[in-house]
Amino acid sequence: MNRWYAMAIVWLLLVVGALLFERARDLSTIGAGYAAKELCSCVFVGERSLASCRPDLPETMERVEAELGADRVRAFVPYLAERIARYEPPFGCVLY
Amino acid sequence: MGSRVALAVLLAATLGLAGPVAAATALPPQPAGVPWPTLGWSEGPPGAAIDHGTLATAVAKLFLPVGRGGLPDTRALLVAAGGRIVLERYAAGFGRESRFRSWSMAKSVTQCLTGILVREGHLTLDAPAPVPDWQRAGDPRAQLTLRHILNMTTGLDNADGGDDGDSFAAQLLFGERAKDSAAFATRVDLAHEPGTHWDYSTGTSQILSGIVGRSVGGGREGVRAFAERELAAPLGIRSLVLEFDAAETMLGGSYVWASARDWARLGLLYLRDGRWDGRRILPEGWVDFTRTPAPAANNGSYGAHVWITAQPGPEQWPTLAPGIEAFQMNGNAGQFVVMVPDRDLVIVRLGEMHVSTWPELNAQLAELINAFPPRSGMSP
Repeated sequence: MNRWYAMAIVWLLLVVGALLFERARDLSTIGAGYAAKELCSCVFVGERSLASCRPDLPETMERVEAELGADRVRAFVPYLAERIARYEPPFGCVLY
Repeated sequence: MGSRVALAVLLAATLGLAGPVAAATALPPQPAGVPWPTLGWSEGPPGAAIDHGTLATAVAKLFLPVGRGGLPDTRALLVAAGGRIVLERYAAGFGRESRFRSWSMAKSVTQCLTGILVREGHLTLDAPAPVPDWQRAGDPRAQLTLRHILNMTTGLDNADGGDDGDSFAAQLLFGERAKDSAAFATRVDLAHEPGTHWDYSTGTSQILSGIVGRSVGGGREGVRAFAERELAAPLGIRSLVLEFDAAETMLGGSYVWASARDWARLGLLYLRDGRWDGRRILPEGWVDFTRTPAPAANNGSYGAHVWITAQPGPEQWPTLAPGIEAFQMNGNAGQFVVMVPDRDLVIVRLGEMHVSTWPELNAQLAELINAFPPRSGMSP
């Protein structure tokens, strides 16, 4: 009987874990998208430095990392999400 | 002045633009002797009639270094009175040539492009909105009109949804489906009878952006060229950048960039009733339609993709202060282009809002506006 209880608990933990992971992945995708778009537009359209733009992001974005390329910003949450916004003048930055 | 108002209301009613409540104070004409700021803005001191002490206090509050890193939240402040710049100040690192993000002030730019298309006869306010997905037989959304969309009274289940990380607006702009924002925004069901319920919706503005794009044609290059030819060039706006999603729909709910001086030009166009130096940009009655409250019980003092402060009510947001009649473009983090007809003012405030709250910022702007006395002779 104890074995069945243990299996049920493990199964329950797996389901809850999967749901939490999916939720974290969805939020990270949006967060990375926000950071990529905002920072790309701020740098290339607003003509500011990445260091100047970064504090304009909400504090909730602190876990999102960002890298500046020649024509793009790549933003990511490690192991969860990655988004790229590319500068396509004269149309600003496009989020992919 | 009364005859001007009567004429404007008559014209608006004739074109079917005015809602059930007529706009109040007449829109002031460009003063004689003040050139239109197409080539450059006239500048001068604020004038003797203003309250200089109140003005100085208000400006100092707006530029307090309360933002992150001890920076001021306000990055740009510009006041145009009587068609001339009387005050212009920037935070360190910003200046006349700096472009500033609109956030939701973009909605008003999209409204402006829509108005031009109405003037040109490509769109009609009360005809079914030209959204192909809604035209199938039996689709209840087929009854939605451009007026519903501009007033944010579609009844669609697409309200922005507050500050949640995965709100409708966040998914629309930054989620996986942001690559085709108009399609995402269009494919939602009705939650209310059209015209009876108001909800602030960036999705609705993306639907409007899709309509503008299809009306103009040519994808993002077509929309950019149209905006340049019909709006930016006539007004002397040189810094305008419209951003687009991957499906080439203008991000007309959130992403337009321009300098403070160019945002002021756009505000002046509305304050001057859609006319610019003898040329009609927006159709007759469009600005009065713009600043007439949306006909829904919970409209939150919203007009047609522009906020209104004329009639304070319990659900009004944002509000400046009782007694100030204004209509304004508003964007996240405290972006403002405020038009104040009875003082002939355009106020542009751009920047961030990390620490201040909307009520505090509204109060600071109200203080600024109140430094300028109402113009004599301006009456409803």
